[in-house]
Amino acid sequence: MDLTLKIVDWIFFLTVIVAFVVSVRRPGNTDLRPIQVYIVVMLIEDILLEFIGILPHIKDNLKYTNIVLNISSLFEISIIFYFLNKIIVKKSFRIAMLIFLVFYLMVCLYVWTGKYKAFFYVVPQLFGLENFLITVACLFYFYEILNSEIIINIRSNSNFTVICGLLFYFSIMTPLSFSYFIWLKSAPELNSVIQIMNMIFYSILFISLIKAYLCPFPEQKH
Amino acid sequence: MSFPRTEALVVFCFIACFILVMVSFIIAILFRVQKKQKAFNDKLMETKENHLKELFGTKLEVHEKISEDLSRELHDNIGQKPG
Repeated sequence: MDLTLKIVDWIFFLTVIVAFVVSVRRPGNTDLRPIQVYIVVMLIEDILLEFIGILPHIKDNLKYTNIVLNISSLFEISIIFYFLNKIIVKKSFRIAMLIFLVFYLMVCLYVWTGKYKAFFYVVPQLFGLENFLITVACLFYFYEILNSEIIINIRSNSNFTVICGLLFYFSIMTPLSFSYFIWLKSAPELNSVIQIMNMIFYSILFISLIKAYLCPFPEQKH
Repeated sequence: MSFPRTEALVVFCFIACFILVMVSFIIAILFRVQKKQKAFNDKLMETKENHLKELFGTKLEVHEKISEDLSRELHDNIGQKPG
């Protein structure tokens, strides 16, 4: 199982690198700038995690891994909300997304520095909350396009492709993150399976980002 | 808090179902958006066709009117000549 996890991890790393290269080689689509930043953040996160992983003599390397994961989750939700905020037109949805972001930041602050002091630990429920908020924000976009006169060409609209990928990954990871402790305590052998699933779904998300970059340049806002 | 193995498996099955539902939901959205696009394209084609038909009708009318005017003028000119 460990070997499978390692192979899937490297496949994911390769997908992120390919996404980064494609985003650099096709910079014309300005709508996807936040996604390019997201890819860079994920690439840095992955490099840091690999770096920490190959240096076992570093004291408390698990602590550093957790810090990297916690900080990157903040970047992740901020960048994705900024991207969605740029393409969603309805004001009430944009305000709701801002409230979601502030709420998430406050919860993070409370969990990391308040009662639990969990900045040096991974709190799967926090990731679950992040995934849930991003899923709802993606549903705002779909609600908007399905209830308006906007016509979208699914083959050539890069924003649509990106949000399909985001909805796919974050909606699937929401229940997995919330139930993480159940696996850890009662079926630890499933833990590796969940990690492999996470990597596979993350790779699919990045493949959708690559596909979005390969779309023709946009001609509409949505 | 500890969870029995069977409960964990039930949750795992629930999550697998949830994943299936979400994937179906995304596919349904894709179909709906594609359907909307197809309806829009059909409407566009219909409008184009109607426009072309109207244009052709108007062209025909103008052509007929010109021929009528020309024949009337010719007839008048020929009628005037012997006189």
